[in-house]
Amino acid sequence: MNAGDWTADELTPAERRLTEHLELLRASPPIVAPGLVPRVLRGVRWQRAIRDPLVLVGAVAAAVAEGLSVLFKPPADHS
Amino acid sequence: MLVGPQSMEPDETLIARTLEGELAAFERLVERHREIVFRVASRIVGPDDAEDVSQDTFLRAFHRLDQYRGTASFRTWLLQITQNTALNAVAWARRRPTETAPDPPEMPDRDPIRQPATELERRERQQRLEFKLTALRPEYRSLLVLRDLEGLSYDEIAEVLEMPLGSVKGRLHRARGELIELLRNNTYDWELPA
Repeated sequence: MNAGDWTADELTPAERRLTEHLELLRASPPIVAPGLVPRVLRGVRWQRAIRDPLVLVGAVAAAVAEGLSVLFKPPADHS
Repeated sequence: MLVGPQSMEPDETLIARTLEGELAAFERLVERHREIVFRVASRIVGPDDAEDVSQDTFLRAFHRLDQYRGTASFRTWLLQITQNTALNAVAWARRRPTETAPDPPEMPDRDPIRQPATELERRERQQRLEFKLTALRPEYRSLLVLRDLEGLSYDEIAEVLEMPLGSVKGRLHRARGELIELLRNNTYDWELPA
C-alpha cells in the first residue's frame, strides 16, 4: 500500500486519534479477486470484437439517412 | 508475475503499445494497478460490488486510453475513473429498493477458542470501523479512502476529484469530522477527544 504522510496534516486531537484507528483498515486491505484480470481481458476482447462492426453499421446507417434526406428533400420555395 | 525488463516498463510505454493494438501491454497495466483500483472500489462500494466496479473501471480506461494526455500519472487518471464508476454504482444501488441494514454485521464465529481475545477485539473494531465508513456520504467516503487509507497527496486527490486544493482540504476536514461524530454515537468507546 502506498503509505502517505497523513501524519503531516495539521490534525486536531480527535482527527489524530481517528487516523490511528484507521490504521486497522490500512493494515487489512481488501484482497483483490484472483479472477479480475482474466475477466477484464475477456471484456476487452469481446467489446473490441463488436466495436468495429457496430461502428461500421452506424456509419452505413448515417450514410443511408443522409442519402435519403437528399433524395426526399422538399423543393426549395422560390415564391 | 513478470520479472525483468518487461516488468519495469513505464506506464506510458505500455499505454503506447496498447494503443498500437497490443493487448498484452494492457494486461500488464491491469496487473500493475489492479490492487489499488480494487481497494478503492471496495472501500467505496463495498466488497460485493468491488469486482464489478474494478472491471468497469479498466474497460472504461481501455476505451478512453487515447484520451489520456499524460498531464497526471496514469494511476491518478485511473483512480479518477475508479472514483466516478464507484460513485455511479453507489447512486445506482441507492435507487434499487433494498432493505437497509441498521446494525453492523455480525462477526463470523469461527473457532473463537483458537483466536486470542485481543485478535477478536481487533477484528470487531475493524468491522465496526468499516461499517461506520460505509455510513459516510459517498463523496466524503472516497476522500477519506484516497487520503487516509491510500495515502494520496492533496495534489493527487485534487486531480482525481477535479477540484481545487483548498476544497479538498476543507472537504477532508468535514469528512473526518463526520466520521468522528458517527464513531462518537457508537456504543463502542473509540476514545476520541473533544
